[in-house]
Amino acid sequence: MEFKDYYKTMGVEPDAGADEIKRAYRKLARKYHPDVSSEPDAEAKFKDIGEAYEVLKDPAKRKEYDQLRKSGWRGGEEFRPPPGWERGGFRDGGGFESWSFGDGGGFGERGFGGRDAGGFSDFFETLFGGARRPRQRPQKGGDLRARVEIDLETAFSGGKRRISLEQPERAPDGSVRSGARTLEVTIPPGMTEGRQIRLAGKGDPGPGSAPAGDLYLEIHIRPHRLFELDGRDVHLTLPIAPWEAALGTKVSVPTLAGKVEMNIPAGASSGQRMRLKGRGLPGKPPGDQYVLLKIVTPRPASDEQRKLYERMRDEFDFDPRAGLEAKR
Amino acid sequence: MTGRDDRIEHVGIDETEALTLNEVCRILELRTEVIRDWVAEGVVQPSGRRTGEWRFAPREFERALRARRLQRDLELETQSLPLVLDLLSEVERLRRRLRVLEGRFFE
Repeated sequence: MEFKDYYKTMGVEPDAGADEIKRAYRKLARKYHPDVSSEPDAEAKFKDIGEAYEVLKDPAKRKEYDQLRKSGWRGGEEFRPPPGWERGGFRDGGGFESWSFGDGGGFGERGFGGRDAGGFSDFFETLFGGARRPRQRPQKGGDLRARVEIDLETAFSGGKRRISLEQPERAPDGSVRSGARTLEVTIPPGMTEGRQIRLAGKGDPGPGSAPAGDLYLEIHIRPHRLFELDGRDVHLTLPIAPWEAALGTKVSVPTLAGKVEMNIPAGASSGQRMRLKGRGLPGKPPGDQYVLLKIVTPRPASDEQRKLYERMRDEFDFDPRAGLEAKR
Repeated sequence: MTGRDDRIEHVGIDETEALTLNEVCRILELRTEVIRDWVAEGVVQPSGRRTGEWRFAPREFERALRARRLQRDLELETQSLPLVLDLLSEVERLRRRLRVLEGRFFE
């Protein structure tokens, strides 16, 4: 495993005082907190920062860590704990990596997940694992998290999604290996992006007779070819011909529930937005579908067509840029 | 342990399921006073008038989850939580809108 440079992670010098470390942590935590940050790797960064702070804020842990640094260990080096560090045994799932994947049954769905946040690195667990929380007997199994990707159609009408969860299992001989569990989750209509769904008792089994932990599903909706999603509202760009815009017409518009007829008023413009009430994702209240008109102009392909455009130019006394003239 | 991998558990997401105060406290490992405080400050909003009748809908529970994360990780004061949560929702909404608009104008 890799020796972690907690000072570098925190952006402080090895002789930094407690106050400085706290300030550095707060600044970084605000920047990378997964609930706040838009940085792509916020979650991993935040975990690293949390781990570094866990060690550096605690004088006892920091002292132990500094001792290792004094004996020459530096960040990035392949680390093997000196003999005195062994704390032996399997601790509370510590360092046991877990993930899951959806087998999707032909839907091409996938997800991944793992232990609930707060799982520190192998490096941390090796050094301090036994000394982390002065823990009573765990009262329930660990919580699990899994990311579930669904398509917009599933968000609209609901569906079933399979996810596989890996979890540590103790074999009769005491060794630990990973086993798989498959869950088929029925997703109700109206799921929105980023929802966190708790499935009670679907996490790791509890030790002995203790209850199982919970499973948290994080719902993500994949981008759609036609529709953009904004909460429960659905947006669609609808191309129309110049004469459709000019004269008005009735067009067939795709919605998540199938095609509906919509009136384009005469004199419609590009950028004009129309609303199909209640045609978004179901819910209380249901979302709407917004249709943005976009006039698409065909190039004249024959003399006849060119003449038609020229006649329009001559017939209309129309300056589309009249509004741009400076007012006197 | 044979055959275990073939077993499929079926679970449903129930969006109408609401949690009681005690359930929320147990799940979030928070004392009831903390949640009472949160309700008083507008961090979360249960349905039901009296404490015993409080029910936390899934979206309120998600807000509570987030509030706990923010308070624990960023050491935020309770009074600031509603504002932070509302601003975060607003930022998310604006980011989504921005994505929709960018998709349109830079296609």
